[in-house]
Amino acid sequence: MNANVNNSILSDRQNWRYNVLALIFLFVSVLLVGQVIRIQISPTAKVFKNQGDNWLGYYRTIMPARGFIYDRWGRIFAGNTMVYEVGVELKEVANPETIARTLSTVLGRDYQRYFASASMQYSLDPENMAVYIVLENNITQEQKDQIDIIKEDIKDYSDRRSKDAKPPSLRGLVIRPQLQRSYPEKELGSNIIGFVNANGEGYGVEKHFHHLLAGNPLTVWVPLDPNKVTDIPDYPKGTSIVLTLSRELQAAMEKVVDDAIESTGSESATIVVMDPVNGEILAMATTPRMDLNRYSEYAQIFTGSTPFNRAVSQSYEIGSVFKIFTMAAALDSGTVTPETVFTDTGVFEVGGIYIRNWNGGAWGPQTMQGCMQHSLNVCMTWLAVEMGANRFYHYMDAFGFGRATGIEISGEDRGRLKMPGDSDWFMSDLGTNSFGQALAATPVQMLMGASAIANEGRMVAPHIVRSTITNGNQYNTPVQVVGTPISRDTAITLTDLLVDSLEKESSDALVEGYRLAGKTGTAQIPTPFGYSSSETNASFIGWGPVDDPRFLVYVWLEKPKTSIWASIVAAPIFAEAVKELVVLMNIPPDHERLQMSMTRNSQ
Amino acid sequence: MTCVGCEKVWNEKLQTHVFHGITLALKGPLLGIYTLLKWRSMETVKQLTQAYSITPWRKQLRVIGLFLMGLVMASSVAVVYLGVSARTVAVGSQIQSMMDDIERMRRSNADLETTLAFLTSNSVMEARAREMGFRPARADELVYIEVPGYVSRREAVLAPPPGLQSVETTPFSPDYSESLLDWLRANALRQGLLGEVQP
Repeated sequence: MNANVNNSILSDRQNWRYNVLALIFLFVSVLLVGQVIRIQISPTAKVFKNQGDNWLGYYRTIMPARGFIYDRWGRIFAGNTMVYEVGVELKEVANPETIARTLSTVLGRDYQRYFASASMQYSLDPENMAVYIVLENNITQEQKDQIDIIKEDIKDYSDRRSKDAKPPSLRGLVIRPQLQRSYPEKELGSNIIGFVNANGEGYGVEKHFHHLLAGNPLTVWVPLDPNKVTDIPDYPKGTSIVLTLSRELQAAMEKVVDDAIESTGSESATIVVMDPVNGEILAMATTPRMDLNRYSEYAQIFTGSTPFNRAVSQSYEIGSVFKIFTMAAALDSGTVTPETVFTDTGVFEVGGIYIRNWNGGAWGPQTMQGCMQHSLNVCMTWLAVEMGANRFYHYMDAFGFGRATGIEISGEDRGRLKMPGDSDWFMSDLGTNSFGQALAATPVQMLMGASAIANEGRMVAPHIVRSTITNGNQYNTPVQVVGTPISRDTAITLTDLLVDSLEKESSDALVEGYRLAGKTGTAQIPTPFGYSSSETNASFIGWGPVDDPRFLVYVWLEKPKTSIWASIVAAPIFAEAVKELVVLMNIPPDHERLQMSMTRNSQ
Repeated sequence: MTCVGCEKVWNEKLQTHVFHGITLALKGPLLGIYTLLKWRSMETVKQLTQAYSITPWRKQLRVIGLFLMGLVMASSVAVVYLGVSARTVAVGSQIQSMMDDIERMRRSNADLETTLAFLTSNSVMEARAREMGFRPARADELVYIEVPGYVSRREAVLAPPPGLQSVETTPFSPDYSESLLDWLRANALRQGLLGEVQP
């Protein structure tokens, strides 16, 4: 009976304890749930949520690899190489001295700068934010390997002597891989390829297509929870560009340019080779050039107002080369025929000024072929006056002067062609313009205009991009016929006339075995005190083989010293260029081509 | 003394007493029987309870058993869940690692392509050719021969033209993203089990 009572009492006591315990648990649970609910509905809930979300993952901005630039055969003109960025995570830095000493030893730079950066206090204060500091941007693989070796050595040392007060440590030193623009061909084609700096400023194709080449940065959410790993969308790299340039032709033309400067003492030389049928620029050599891998040296190489690419960015008074357009207009408009005879008295008055020939002489009766052969200013002025200003300028406008060609190289100069109605145009300009004075054009503009003559009247836009590769597809650039300023007959007639002129003149521009058309141009250089008599721009434009034109070449020598005359300095350079071109472009001499064609037709 | 109406009252009282008497006479035994039966049944229940009652330790054992069974079941579910989770996490981690590998390989490919371009650049190739005794040919040294069927050098085709669309691929198989319900739906649809009427 007593036992039962005791059991009962014990049971009651136990129940009481259990109940108290249960109540405590219940109370705590209610408190917890209440707190959870309170947090959920409190005004700071959003803050907590944001803080929590920060740990769920992070946004990662992926910068696509910059697109490559190739020549027409697929050789890389601009690519990317792997380099490393070196930085410090300030929160992790254990021994700034070790970091500074290691970097200054391997990279050979200032110890103090590294030490000061690595010693900075970690701070999340928005005004003095200091979390991660970039110490170096582009260290090489070899330098990275050296740092890794030192890192291993220090780790061993620290393991052995961990009792040091501040053991050497590279903790906090971060090395991240990244791609850097590289130019395997260095100086070759540098004036065309160009470069861009970190702000997107630069020159050439790199600048013109900067946004395409760079691609679109992609921001993706990367969850830190592996359960929620998501597929990072396949992002394309920047658009790659295949140029119309041929590496071999470019190298050959650059060599011709360098030789020309050496042999003529010119301040600069420019040769542009274009396919007159489709407008593809096959080579564009000019001076000065630079190794694009060391683009920081730009300012030392391109001093003053030196343009990055003279062929595109520098217009100048063309001189007698321009006469081909005056003659084209005169023939096409029916003002004259090749047989028309002009009696040259050595002087012609227009707009109050007197036009004279290059030698001041009177050449007597001349056919149009004679006018071109002897490059008579008086004859050209007479033609322009006969045509009338409106008709003359209508043709010049149709040839594209005074407008940019639209070539895909940054910094194109549009030249200058004054037109009737302009405040600074005078009747005398009609005379001077007819033989290439008082107007300015770039070599590329000249090539575009001349393509109409070489290509049976069809004028094509010069272009440097053959195709673009974007999203895994290659898109070819179509040929752009920008007009037919003259008829096919006029083009053929003028071409024959220019061929005869060269041959009768026994020009140095002739190349044995090939029938070429062309025209020299010696232009005095305007100064604030009138035209210089000792300094000229010597130019030559020519194309061939005339029955099936494969190249259109423009040569420009700036201030040649051995002779001021283009027929003496520029014409031989054209011939040198053509000799290289016919080999590299596999163009057999005319008679062999004819023979092959006949054999093919007879089969 | 004669009481008028007293007889009637007396009769009524008598009737009442008789009725009560009868009632009592009848109730008494019934109550007795009822009480007896009640006592008997309680005894029976008590006896039955005693006969079939379980000892306290058995009761505790049963509770503990049930608790343990629940615990084992919960543990089994937890173990399966943890196993699946661990595998998912491991695969997720591998995927992240592979994505990093892809990035690294892309960079490496670009680097190798450019390094190769440096090694085969025009100046390097020209220097090598000169070292080997070659020199540029002159126009007058060339002999042109027509070779029937000869295909001349073609310009670079580094990617297919836009007409030829490549099949879009994803690095993940649907097996990794498809839920059981998706799979059932897809397979059921394929076999026409969901009865979708095709026109």
